[in-house]
Amino acid sequence: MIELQGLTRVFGERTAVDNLNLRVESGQICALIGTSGCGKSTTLKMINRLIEPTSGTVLINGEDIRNQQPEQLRRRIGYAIQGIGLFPHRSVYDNIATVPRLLNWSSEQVDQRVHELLDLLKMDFDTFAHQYPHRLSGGEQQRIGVARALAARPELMLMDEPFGALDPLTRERLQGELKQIQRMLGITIILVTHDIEEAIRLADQIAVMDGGKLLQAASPRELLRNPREGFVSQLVGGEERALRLLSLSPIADLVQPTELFELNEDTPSIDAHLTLRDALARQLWQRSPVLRVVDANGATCGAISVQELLSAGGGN
Amino acid sequence: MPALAATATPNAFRFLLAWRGVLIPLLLLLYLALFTSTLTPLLQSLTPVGAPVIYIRDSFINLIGWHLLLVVLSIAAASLIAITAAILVSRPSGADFLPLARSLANLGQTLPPVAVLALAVPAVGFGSWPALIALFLYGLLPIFENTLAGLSQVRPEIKEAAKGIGMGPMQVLWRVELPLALPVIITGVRLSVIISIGTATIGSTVAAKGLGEVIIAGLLTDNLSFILQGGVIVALMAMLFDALFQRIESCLSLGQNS
Repeated sequence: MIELQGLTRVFGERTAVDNLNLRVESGQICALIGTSGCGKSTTLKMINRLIEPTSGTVLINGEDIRNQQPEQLRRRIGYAIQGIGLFPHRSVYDNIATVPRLLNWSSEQVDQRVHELLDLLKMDFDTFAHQYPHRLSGGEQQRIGVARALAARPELMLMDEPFGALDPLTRERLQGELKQIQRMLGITIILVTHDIEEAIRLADQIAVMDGGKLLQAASPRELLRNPREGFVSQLVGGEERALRLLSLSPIADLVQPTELFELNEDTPSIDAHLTLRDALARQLWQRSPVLRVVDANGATCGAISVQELLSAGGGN
Repeated sequence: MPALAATATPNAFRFLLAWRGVLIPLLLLLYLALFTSTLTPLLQSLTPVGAPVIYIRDSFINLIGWHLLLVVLSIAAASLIAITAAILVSRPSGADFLPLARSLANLGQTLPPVAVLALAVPAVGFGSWPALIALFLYGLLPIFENTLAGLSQVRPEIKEAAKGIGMGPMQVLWRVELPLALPVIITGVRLSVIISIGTATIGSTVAAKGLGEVIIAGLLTDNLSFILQGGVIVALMAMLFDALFQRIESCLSLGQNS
């Protein structure tokens, strides 16, 4: 569990972060979101002491981070920034091995870990391990950045706009992979972004910042349903809110028995693991108020109707 | 074994092609130094009647050795001082000293080596010392400026990432900044070495051993052949070291074209 208590940072005349209180539970993803200059990156860097707070404390599992050497602390916390943070003079292997080597792991342990991580990120060892970063695509570089951050098995990972420089398709794929890896390893992630879609897709908790202040911290659902007046409402979007809300739930949540509807061979079908937003889109596109819901094996497991979606996507 | 021959030949060829800049001056230099006498007929016409055609007061190999020793010692010292100074003034705590260090390095370059020789002789006497001092001062600036440029071109995100994953300041310097700046630093050392090889010839005016001896002997006796021998050998040495350092630079930057 990470707790930020009364965190404040003043640069000269300007207060970059103003009395920020936030609590992130272990095993969750928290997204710090806001416009550029709102203090979100400063907040992130105060967690691994790249920036020292003017006042306030950061507790990791109840322990004040000031009790640790900054370097020791940082080796325990994964840190990933946009792909350009890779060391251009070192191979993929050596980039990933950086922190384990700083921690004096044996070369066998390092070697095993690099294999594991490339495996985890679905990258072939023989193809990639001895490449230099400039030979990789943006998405591959970003994967290596994540692998490097995960190398020493941290419980907490900090990410500063990790997918900012990627094209939308690659970004979406990597977001999916990140979430999967995070669930698998059970680590805590605090991530800085300016993209509300990204925050909604990834985060368990979204912390909205503006002008150095934390405006609202809540689950994506809560944030979409009950945003504070002003900046938060603007950020989560007016009309688009309904669709974003639908995108948070899987179809399985609203499946009804097929007997309630008259289904025939022409009724379009949809996978149960997709989101309600996908279901609505399919209904619009196919001009069909009811969809057949199929499971992973292609067997019909129910139906979903537009009336149910209307009830789920609304505000209060 | 035709297969082996087929792979060996292009490899050897590629090697020769890559190293031709080094090999050609090297071979010419060796030829000139070891078999100078074979050029006697060619140089005869440039020599005053009755004077020796080939410089014989010392062997060329010996003179090349002394010449290089002068250059290597002075540039090694200049590199040590200039690189250390550039590293220090590029740290946040040393930033205040940047203008001072810069003007000192500039001063070294502004003072003509001849003036330094003239000033140094009363202080340290005749011989190699005044030449070493002049070459050292003259070599500082390119190395200092290139080290600064090399360090400042390391992208801040890379330094931040290094710090953010737990490297201490010295680790960031040794493992990230210096390796990334190395090609540019080597360029600075190359410039200083080449300048010094040429400049070292005037060291002979204060009795430093080196190829300047041959040229000065030629000037004193109006012997164009001597001047040519000394001059060409110095020029070939400069070309050789230029090519050698360029090879090192390209090998170093091979992995990191980002």
